[in-house]
Amino acid sequence: MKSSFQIRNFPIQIGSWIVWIAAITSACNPPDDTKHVSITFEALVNGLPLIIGTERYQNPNGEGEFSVENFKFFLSNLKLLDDSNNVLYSEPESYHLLRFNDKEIVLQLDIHNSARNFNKIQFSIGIDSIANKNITQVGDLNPNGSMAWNWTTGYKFLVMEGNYYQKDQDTVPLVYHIGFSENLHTFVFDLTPIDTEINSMAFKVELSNLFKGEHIVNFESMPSITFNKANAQYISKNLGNLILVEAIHVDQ
Amino acid sequence: MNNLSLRFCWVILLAGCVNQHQPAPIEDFKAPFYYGSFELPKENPLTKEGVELGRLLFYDTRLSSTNKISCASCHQQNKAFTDGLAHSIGVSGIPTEKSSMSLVNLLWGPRHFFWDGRVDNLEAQSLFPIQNPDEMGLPIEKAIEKLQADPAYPKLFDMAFGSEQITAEKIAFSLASFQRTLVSQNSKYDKFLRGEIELTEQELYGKQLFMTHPDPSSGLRGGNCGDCHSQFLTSGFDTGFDGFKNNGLDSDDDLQSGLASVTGKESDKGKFKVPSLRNIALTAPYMHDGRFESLEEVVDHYDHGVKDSKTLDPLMRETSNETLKSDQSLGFHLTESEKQAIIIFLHTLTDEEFISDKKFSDPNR
Repeated sequence: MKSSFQIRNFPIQIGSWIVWIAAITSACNPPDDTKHVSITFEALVNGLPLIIGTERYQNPNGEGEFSVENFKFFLSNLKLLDDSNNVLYSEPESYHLLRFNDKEIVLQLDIHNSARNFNKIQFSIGIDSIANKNITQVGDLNPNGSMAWNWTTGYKFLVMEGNYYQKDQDTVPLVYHIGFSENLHTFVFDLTPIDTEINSMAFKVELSNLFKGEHIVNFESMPSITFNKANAQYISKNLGNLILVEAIHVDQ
Repeated sequence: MNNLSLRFCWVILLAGCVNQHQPAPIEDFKAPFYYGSFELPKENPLTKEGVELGRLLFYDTRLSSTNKISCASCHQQNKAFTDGLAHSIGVSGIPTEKSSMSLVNLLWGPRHFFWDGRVDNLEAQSLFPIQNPDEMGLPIEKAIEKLQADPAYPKLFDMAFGSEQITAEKIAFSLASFQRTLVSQNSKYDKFLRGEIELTEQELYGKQLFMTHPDPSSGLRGGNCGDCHSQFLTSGFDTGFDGFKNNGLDSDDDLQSGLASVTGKESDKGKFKVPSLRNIALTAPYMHDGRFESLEEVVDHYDHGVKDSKTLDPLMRETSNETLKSDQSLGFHLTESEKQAIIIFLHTLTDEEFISDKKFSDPNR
């Protein structure tokens, strides 16, 4: 279990019992008044499974193919709502770095019974302005992590890196590092008219939609977006189509 | 055992520990908050006795077949635990393939060890050099025999692990524990981060270039070191294999397998561990094979010497202070004064206290 700590010189005997007792209690079952919910994300490119490194995919906006070396983003501020938009559950320290690397990603939640009848889920792709100024670790936010930009701008919240290949042309590197709090995008998925309890939700992340939708991001004219605020804002307009519901599983 | 202990005996057994002797938690262990949290394996907590035993073993030349080479022979404190060589020479006299890595801040950064990331825990890693025929050349059973026969070691193992019976695991545990205490946190850069000192204008300029990803379209200039070397630790990243990169040292013809030998993926060929840059001014020569003798050579490599290969990191291909042209060499294309400033910043990572701290030194001197 991760913990940040300073080693303190507490008495040996007491210290040991605390460790053993904690080990016992943590092995106990979770309390009966919680429900387990799982949320799965699978990354696709043009409808095909994302395979990092070797696979090549059709350019969504023109000629040629591209590969993906790196695709990850921060999912943050996850909440479960009822149909009147009341927040039934708000995940603590809700900053998950989803690093897509050939496998689906599963988030596990243990929610209180009072939240079990949720029928909307809300989350963001992005980092809010408060978290962007914080250099301590909260959830997966890590100032020494791969998403850190610098201590004035905070974090990049979405990274896509790869290569663009065209016949008889040099390889063009694709580098999309999107940050800035104002580019955070919030999703609300309305899961009604399902009226039984939801156990799990599966979402697909269609990577090609990052480059089309509200704005076309052409690999030839815009192969790289980093600190340029205008460009970051431009591509962020496409975030809304990045995530789609795949399936919802309910109590039988 | 007294009544209290007997009553809780089942608790101890349940937690998988039947030690009678309780080693003490280590004292005076500090780490800066900006390094973030760290994990310790629950089987090997940091104890005073374990760390002290590990230090004795680290400096003990009897852990080699010739009785002349210890861990410290290739990991010398005054060189931030490197040896100043491109390839080390062990008992066989045949130079090692790879350069000795600096042992620093091992609680953070990539969770895989060796240049190719082939071992995922420090305990296991520590036994490899002892047995490698081109390093210390001593099979672990022979190491155990020597230590068991020593008048002092069995008692020290007993104090650390509750038994005089020496095992490979306990050797590994104590070496790992000692190495975990090698924390460098008092360089000029650290003192600046803690608000204790100011950096010079040049040092600040170098730091800014280090942290900035250049964007010619908006006139932003930088060396983009921070996209691979984290901003406070200056090491590779700790998630998965994110801390392993192909930084353009070789073209396809000469590319070594690197991380590919661990993952089996063609796309990982030529990727090596991104090391910490702490004390980098002391740890020449540079790269996995020690091919660059100076920081100037390193910066020149990144500036205009990057070699293309199929697995070259897209960041290496894309990073440039000039708009990419097809006839231009790959590299960052910095000015002379920018290169100088970056090197001056790198010098702020030197930690005089780390390289002289008696807690990390040879206990026999």
